[in-house]
Amino acid sequence: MTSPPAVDEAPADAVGPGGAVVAAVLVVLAATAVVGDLPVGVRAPLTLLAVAATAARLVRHRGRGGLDALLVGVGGSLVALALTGMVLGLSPAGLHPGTWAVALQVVALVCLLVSLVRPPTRAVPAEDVVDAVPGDGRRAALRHAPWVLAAAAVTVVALVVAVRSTTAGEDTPVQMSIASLAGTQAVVVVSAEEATGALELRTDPGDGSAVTYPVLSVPAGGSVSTTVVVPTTGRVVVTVSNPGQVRPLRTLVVNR
Amino acid sequence: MSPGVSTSTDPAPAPALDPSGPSGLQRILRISSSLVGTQAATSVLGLLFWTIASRGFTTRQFGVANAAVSAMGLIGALGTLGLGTLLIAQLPRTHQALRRVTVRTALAVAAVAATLLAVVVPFVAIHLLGIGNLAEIAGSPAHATLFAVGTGLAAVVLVLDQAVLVLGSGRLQLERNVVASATKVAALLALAAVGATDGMAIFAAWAVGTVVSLPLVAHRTRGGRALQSSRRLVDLSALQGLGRRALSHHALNTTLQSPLMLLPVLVTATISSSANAPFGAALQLTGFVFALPYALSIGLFAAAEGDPREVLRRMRVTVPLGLGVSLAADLALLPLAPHVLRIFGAEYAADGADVLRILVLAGLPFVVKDHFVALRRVQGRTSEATLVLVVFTVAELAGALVGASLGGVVGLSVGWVGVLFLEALVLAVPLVRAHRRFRDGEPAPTGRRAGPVPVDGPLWKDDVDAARPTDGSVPAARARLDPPPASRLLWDDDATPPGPGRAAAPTGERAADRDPARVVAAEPAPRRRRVPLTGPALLTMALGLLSMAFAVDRARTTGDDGGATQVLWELGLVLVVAPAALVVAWPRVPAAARTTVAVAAVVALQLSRTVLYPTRFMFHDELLHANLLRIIGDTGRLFGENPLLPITSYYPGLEVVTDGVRDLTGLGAHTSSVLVLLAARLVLGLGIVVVVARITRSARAGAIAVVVYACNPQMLFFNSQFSYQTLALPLAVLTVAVFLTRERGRRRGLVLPVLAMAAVVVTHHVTAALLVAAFVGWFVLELVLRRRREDEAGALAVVAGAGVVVFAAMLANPGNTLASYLGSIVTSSSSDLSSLVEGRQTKALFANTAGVGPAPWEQVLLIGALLVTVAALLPSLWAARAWFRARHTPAALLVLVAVLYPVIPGGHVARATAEVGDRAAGFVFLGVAFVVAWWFARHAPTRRRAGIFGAAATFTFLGGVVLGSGTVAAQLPGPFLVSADARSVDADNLAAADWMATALPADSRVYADRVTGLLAAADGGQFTVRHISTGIDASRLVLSPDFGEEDVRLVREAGIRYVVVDRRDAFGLPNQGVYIESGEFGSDGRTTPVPAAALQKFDDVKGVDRIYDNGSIAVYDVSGLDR
Repeated sequence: MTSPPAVDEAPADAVGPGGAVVAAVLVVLAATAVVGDLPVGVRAPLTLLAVAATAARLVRHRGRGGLDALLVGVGGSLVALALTGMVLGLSPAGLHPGTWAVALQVVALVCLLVSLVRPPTRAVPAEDVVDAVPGDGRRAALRHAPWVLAAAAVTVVALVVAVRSTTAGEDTPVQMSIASLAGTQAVVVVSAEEATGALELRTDPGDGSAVTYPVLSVPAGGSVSTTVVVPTTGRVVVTVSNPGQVRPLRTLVVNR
Repeated sequence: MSPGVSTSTDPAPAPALDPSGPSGLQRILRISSSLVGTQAATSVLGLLFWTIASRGFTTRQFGVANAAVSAMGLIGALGTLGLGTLLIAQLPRTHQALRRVTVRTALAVAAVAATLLAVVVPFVAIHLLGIGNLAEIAGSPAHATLFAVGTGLAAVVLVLDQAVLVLGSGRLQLERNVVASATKVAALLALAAVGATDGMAIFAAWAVGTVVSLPLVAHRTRGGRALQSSRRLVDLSALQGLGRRALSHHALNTTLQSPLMLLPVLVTATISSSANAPFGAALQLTGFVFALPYALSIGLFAAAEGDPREVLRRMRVTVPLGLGVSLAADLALLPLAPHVLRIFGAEYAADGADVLRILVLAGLPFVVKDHFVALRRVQGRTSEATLVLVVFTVAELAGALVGASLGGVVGLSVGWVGVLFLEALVLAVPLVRAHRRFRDGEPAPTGRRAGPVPVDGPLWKDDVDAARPTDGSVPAARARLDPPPASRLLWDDDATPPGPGRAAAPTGERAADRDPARVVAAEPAPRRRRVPLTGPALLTMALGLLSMAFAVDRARTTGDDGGATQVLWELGLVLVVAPAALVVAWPRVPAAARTTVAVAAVVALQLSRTVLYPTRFMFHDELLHANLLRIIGDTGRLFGENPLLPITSYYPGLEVVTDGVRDLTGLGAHTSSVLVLLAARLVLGLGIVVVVARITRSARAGAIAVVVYACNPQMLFFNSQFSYQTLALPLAVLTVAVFLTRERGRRRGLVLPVLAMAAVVVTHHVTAALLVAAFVGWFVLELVLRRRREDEAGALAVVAGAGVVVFAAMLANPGNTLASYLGSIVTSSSSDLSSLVEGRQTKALFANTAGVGPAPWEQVLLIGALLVTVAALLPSLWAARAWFRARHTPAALLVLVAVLYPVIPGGHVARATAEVGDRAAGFVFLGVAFVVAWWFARHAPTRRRAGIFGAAATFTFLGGVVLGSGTVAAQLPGPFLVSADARSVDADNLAAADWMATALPADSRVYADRVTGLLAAADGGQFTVRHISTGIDASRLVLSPDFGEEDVRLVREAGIRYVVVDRRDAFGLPNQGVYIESGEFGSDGRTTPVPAAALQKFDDVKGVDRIYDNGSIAVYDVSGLDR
């Protein structure tokens, strides 16, 4: 049984500078990608890598093993985002992609610099050390890799099934609206996700002088605009219906 | 495994071996050829049977019969209860005089069990789950009786075929099968000749053949009658004490057989009986192809005579041979498939050729799988093999289901075979490793040998499964029950190392008084190899998510939120939670595995929210926070007004973090929120492990605490949605964790706890207040209990003080309405309680305001969960007094929190207090998790305890879900419901919101009902007028059928520009209690829905234009009223 290290000794696996340099490079690259408004396929992985590398570098200083490192790494990232964002939001800079990138870059580089300059955490008493034997950990990871990959694949399939089910069920209804109303003219827009077939557009002031407009047909995913005449005072009902049907499909009212 | 064969598929034992006989390889080939011969004879007759059936009956009836026979085979195999394989092992050790009564008893038990199952299973499937496609098999009394009798007979012959190998010979088994198969053919011809057209007539012919073959066995074994000592027909004492062994065999055999038995049933249930005809025919043909590889593996097992090295030595020949034969068959059937299927008929050739080509590919992975099973049988590790194969069986069926939903029968075949190939890849790893060890001269590991075992890289040193020392030797302590060294017994925060002469650690109850952590049970030394549980558990959880995805898909596409949909949903939840509940409590599991599985479970539960609604925010609280996120994104500023819930603007931590992720990554708002919430959930799980393990010094207790915490009623719903508490709670746990693990003696050790505390304060008011209160309480406890240790008390004071300062700063923000917000909650809770006391019940105990309540089974779950929680809490709280005696302040604080548990269920007596109780669950359960986990971990881990804990935790979780999330039907998506939050968000509402975003000026003041108003703000970019933000109750605009001066006044006073009406509100009462908000027009004593006239009154108001209509939603421009 090994004895716990003396209180003032540095841990045997003292943290080297290489990780800090890599993290710093990633941070700068990620910030550049954000400021440069690069596509999400570039920004997202770079940003996440930069966060992971910076967090991994900083938590190594705690020397409390893998579990603590993961907790503090992820939790610390959330804390950093929350507090940095609060400062940005209170400052004239505001919360924008550019200001986020610059602010977090500064925070990350400062923390990395501090980690280079200051010594790691003083040796932790044995009961506080969470043990992680790299050799065994890697072997265990390799052994579990097929299962983890299989689980990840199944999870992806589950998400795909879920997403497909939402797109299948969302049929946008036929919509009718007044795009503009000025004087005696109103622009009526009829839109639909699926092709509607022939539709009759009518205006009816209720005094028997209803007007039927030329039949319109809305293409799939498209819209059709029609200018109709409306009285300057009084009430007129604007409807679209399927040809031959009495009950209107949609109804608008102008009541001036 | 030999698919497509309807006879016994249990691994038949090899004939007796001549020790002076041929070499090992020759023995394997001899055994294999014997089995192949038996297989060939019965397969030819079986093929003839099905060919006649295909010619004489319609494809639909063929499909029915095929599914019925497959179901019979599966249920019959289940009914054998492993007795067949047990008899093979047990009969040679049984006295000759008792063998026949033992066999008769086993046959009787199998018959009864199988018959009962054959009655119950179809009844449940058809009448309770509503799987109508199976009605033709057992939907009528006559068919159900026939099916039950046939299945009972099937179980009898399965057991008998194995018993005769001991009582008679292998040849008798062959003869019986040939007689049965021949009789079936004759019976089928006779039935076809008399004009029978029913699919179950084919099944009846099968049963007749079975019955006729039984007298043959009785006649051929009559010589043994003279030897028997008991004339009793059945004697249950003959099987006494053999139950566990039988079940072990049964489990493995059933697992191996079930996919092939279930596939035709799946095809029938999910596609159609007609589709099962070509599928069943193709599956029958694959029996020929897989016969040799299967026989090779069985021969290998039999010839090995219990020596794993023999298996590993011969694998070098049998694996390539099996793969070669399978590959040859695959290549041959590529062009020949339609021609071979023509035996069954032209339509089978047309519809089944592609299916056959795909199914026959399964021969390749079967070679690997069968060799894996053979190796594990020889090693005596059947339990491990069963566990692994159970997971893969579920995966195979899931793959088949996915394939079926995507591509019908062909898709099902592809899905199943695809999973088989993945399975082969995974199972090949232990085969290769074992072979390498054998090749390198290491002894083959068996399940029977005791001794030190390799370590999986634990995370915690004080777990019994300690890390391997750096010199590479295996610590002897692992083989003994050594207690931890004295220097690690006491949790000494002063980090004072134990000096010489220090008194030895006391033992017994007094030790528990001084340090309750001392009595956390160490695990017994491993007596056999540890079962790798992490991988199967993770895969099972993923399969649970897949099951939930199927449930969600079914609910959306069919509109059915009951029956099979609910089963799939509940099954998914069980598959996520149960593995974690078992693994954390199972003996001899490495700490890393426990922690991984426990944290993975809670993360998977968070992911289930994304599975449920993967593309957008849906719930009430999510939408109001999404609105704040939109405002921050649009303005780049904090503290802008959020009219949906003004207080959220002053605690924007969640939105700030999400905005950061969105701006930095470029991902959408919802996707960014998913990432944030997953990270938060990971922090919550890890934080609980760290806190509990730190206090109890047991990683096992830490992992158990995570599972217990998952039973919190709000785990699945409230604490998973995009709402500020969802982030604040994990950050609060993080604060406690980093405080406990800080670097003591240096000020910089407090930096992280202080920052974490600040993050909590800017995120959620109540969580922050409770966290600050907790630190203050901890500080007080430290002063009272720990004899004023200044360092610890000082650190607590610093963190608490920082929290107070930041909290005060947030409170001082102009416009912060926290006081009035909390005041209104207190007022409404008090009002509801007063009503309750006065006898005016405000909330039905088991129903919402629309009268929808949980089903009886859900009520049982709910009440049962409460009882189980109380049953666990009472003894654990009683034992937890030891923490006070030990003066352990953080533990004492958690115990006090746990005492508050009654608030959670007790709050459900009234609606307002129900909300308070629900929101308290997330905090209170931290204490509950600690006490229950610590109490459970005090007991030595055994499989029995792990099973009880697993079952209890899973049951409690399911009941908690009902308490916190409502009925299962309400949790699932489905058709529109009136004022039902997520069930009211549909294409019509979304279309209206999207239109508002493009057609109306941003931040126009709109008035709408509860859900439409949320969408108008979050998606439509409008300012939804609410009483909580404006102080104006404008609900009569939408709910009163009369239009008058009061309406005009409200429009002008609130500055409303648009009124949005959902005409469907007239279809029913509001499921969430209100159409718009608390205290709305007409809410007192409401028993009927809002009148339709109220929703149409603006049609006739001068100065009001209806400017939008999508059938359900209408938008009125009321700006004319303002003039």
